[in-house]
Amino acid sequence: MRTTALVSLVAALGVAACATQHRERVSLPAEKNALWRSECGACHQAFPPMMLTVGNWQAMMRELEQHFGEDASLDEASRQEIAAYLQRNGAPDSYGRHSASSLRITDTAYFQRRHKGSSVPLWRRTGENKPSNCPACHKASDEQLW
Amino acid sequence: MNIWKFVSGMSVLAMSSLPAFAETPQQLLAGYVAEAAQATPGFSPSAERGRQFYLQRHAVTDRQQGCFSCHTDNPLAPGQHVTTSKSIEPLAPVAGSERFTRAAKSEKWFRRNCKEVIGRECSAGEKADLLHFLLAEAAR
Ligand code: HEC
Ligand code: HEC
Ligand code: HEC
Repeated sequence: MRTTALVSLVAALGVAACATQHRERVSLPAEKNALWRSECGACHQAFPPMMLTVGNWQAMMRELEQHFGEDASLDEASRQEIAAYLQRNGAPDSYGRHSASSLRITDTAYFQRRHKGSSVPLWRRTGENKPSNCPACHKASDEQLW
Repeated sequence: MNIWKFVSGMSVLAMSSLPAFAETPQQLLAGYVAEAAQATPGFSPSAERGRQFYLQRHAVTDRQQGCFSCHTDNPLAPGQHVTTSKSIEPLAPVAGSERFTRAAKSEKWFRRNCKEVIGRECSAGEKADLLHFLLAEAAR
């Protein structure tokens, strides 16, 4: 369909241009939590809690020793504090488009739909331009964070 | 070296429970030296061993070949996470940095990174050598 073609062209251009041009701001919770910031923002930018369901976050917080191939384990008190923060700020479990069995935000239907330009080769690269590197293209609502 | 015996002696008491924060890298080093000396009497840290450890290619995993995979081969330079591309502050405690000023933080990352890169936890002696090397680099 013509509109679809046009939309994907615009999206592709958007993605191609975005590495230099910060586009849509990504929302982070108004509620701040220093522990979440430092612990979940050490290896990558801290991901927006509302982009994954509470159930997904809880599953992730139960297996931090094996976190996408890395050891992100925490002491029990820290783990509980961050789990509670994500519980309060994650998407409700009824929001299926924010859920992914892989526990990756980038695999959720919502993310995929908003990033239709993912068909461009840019997404397949590793490093700076991979989809999980949100700050390569976005600024966060909380500029102190990313 | 005598100075190390002295420093280790002084810090054995302090080491019995690692304080949560507000150390200097030198205090942390003294703690690791004291701990290493319990296993190896007369232990004295070596910047050369630390350098070799830092630059060693363990190759337990493809991605994380060694400490340099994320911290670069120059510990005075900013690093970059090999998987996520996030930038990492220099590992060496250069002026104004907060590196090695909180024992709990340093221990947490030694535990995680050593397990991933070497496949086991690092010994107190390895930590002492590495920190001695990093301090020497920062002082250059
Ligand atoms: C020791 C490093 C480390 C720490 C600490 C860490 N992560 Fe991760 N995380 C990773 C890596 C590596 C990936 C995979 C990134 C990739 O494939 O691009 C990842 C991926 C993710 C993803 C999936 C991103 C996507 O592709 O959609 C989420 C969500 C996530 N982490 C959340 C967290 C949370 C929450 C915490 C704090 C409890 C945390 N991380 C702490 C290393 C870490
Ligand atoms: C390669 C560049 C790129 C990366 C990386 C990227 N995005 Fe996007 N994102 C875009 C573009 C382009 C849009 C479309 C913006 C528009 O509509 O103008 C978009 C849209 C969005 C939207 C929808 C905004 C709205 O209001 O409609 C959200 C939310 C979003 N991205 C979050 C994220 C998150 C979270 C990450 C990291 C997990 C991420 N993005 C990674 C380029 C990227
Ligand atoms: C996969 C990437 C990666 C590799 C490989 C890696 N590190 Fe790290 N390291 C990090 C990250 C991320 C941090 C924490 C980020 C920060 O504090 O800026 C860190 C922090 C540290 C700290 C904390 C220092 C402090 O502030 O007290 C130590 C110690 C450390 N690493 C040692 C090592 C050693 C030793 C190796 C090799 C055996 C190694 N790292 C390999 C990513 C890595």
